[in-house]
Amino acid sequence: MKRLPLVALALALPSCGLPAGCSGFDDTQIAVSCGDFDAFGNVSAVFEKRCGTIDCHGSMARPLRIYGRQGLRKPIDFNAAKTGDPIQAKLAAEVDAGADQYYPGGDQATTPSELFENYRAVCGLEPELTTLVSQGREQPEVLTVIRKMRLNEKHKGGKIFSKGDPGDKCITVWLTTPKPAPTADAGAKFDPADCNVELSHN
Amino acid sequence: MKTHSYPAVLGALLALGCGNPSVDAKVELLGEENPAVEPGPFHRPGQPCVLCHSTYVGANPELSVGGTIFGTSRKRLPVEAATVKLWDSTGDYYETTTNCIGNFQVEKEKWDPSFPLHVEIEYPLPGEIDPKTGLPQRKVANMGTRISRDGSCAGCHIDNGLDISETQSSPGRVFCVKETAGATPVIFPPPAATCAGRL
Repeated sequence: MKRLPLVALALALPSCGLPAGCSGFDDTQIAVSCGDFDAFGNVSAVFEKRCGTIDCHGSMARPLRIYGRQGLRKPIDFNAAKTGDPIQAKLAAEVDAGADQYYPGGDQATTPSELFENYRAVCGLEPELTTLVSQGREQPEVLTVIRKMRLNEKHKGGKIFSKGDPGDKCITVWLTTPKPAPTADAGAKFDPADCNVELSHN
Repeated sequence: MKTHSYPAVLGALLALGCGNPSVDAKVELLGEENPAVEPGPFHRPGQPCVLCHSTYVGANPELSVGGTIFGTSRKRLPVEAATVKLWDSTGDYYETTTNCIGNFQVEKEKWDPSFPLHVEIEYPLPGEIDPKTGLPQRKVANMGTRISRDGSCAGCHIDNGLDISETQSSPGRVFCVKETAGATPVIFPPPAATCAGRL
């Protein structure tokens, strides 16, 4: 691949083979090219702030589910972690502010696992189209997430950004900026300035 | 204040074939009225007001925003006379005040905001008197995020009936003062015995 290394995401693709409708899913893995995960922190913060409130995408019911400090927390069973469940123990180890601060609005910052879940939600929503966008073969507005946040498509949450707003640029530029090669100069990196402008707004 | 019997309204909706099973299930979970409290501005503190005071269920009045304000994050005591200040996405402003059980309501007929909303609570801090006015000192608490679409505070701020209400999926009740370990606790007074509401 020319612009971005492929990011392998475990995506559960719906299987609609049953005549009665969609039921079940398989565990097919497909490769997705998306924005640089190493630069995703500021982008995730924008999603968390503007989309991830509990009454919107900070909900288990949403296909684009956003976790974070001010919204839904990725479930952790702290009791199971204490009794040696390796998966829960790994998740619990990321909670450095204490289990009693692991709630929406608590002191615990967004954890690395929550960050990755957000990345997977954004990149995996429409993986094939996201790949084309990240490779420059399609414009960002082909993506549902972009159309909805600009209210070019029906969105219960209304217009979040207009095209060209700092938040809009934060997300679209990140999606279309390739992960820099190890030898690349600084200019090739994603600049989170627009994300920071958006995050500075109330 | 006019109210409808929720089961009767739901029954009528189901008969018309326009039920919403998701909302129906949530309404069912709220349970029956406290027999000691008349349906009205003092009933059901801590519950998601707009769930029923909506076009769908039809409880009167229809509300755009409603909720209950509690004193601290770790004690289930409501705050009377807190001012709830709301700004919508067009900059329009509305304010209202909590009653003795901590409830406040914004009737849709009076204010139908464009979401998202920004919210502040100005509350009387117990034990501190403003030397200029001789009244309780008032402080302001800001909500950390916007309200994106749900006018029911308790849609997100779930009141589990316990002193500690935060969970991994809810910030817990709406509170004015966050209690922190080691800090002197702020004690809000319980509702007066004459209050028409009950926790």
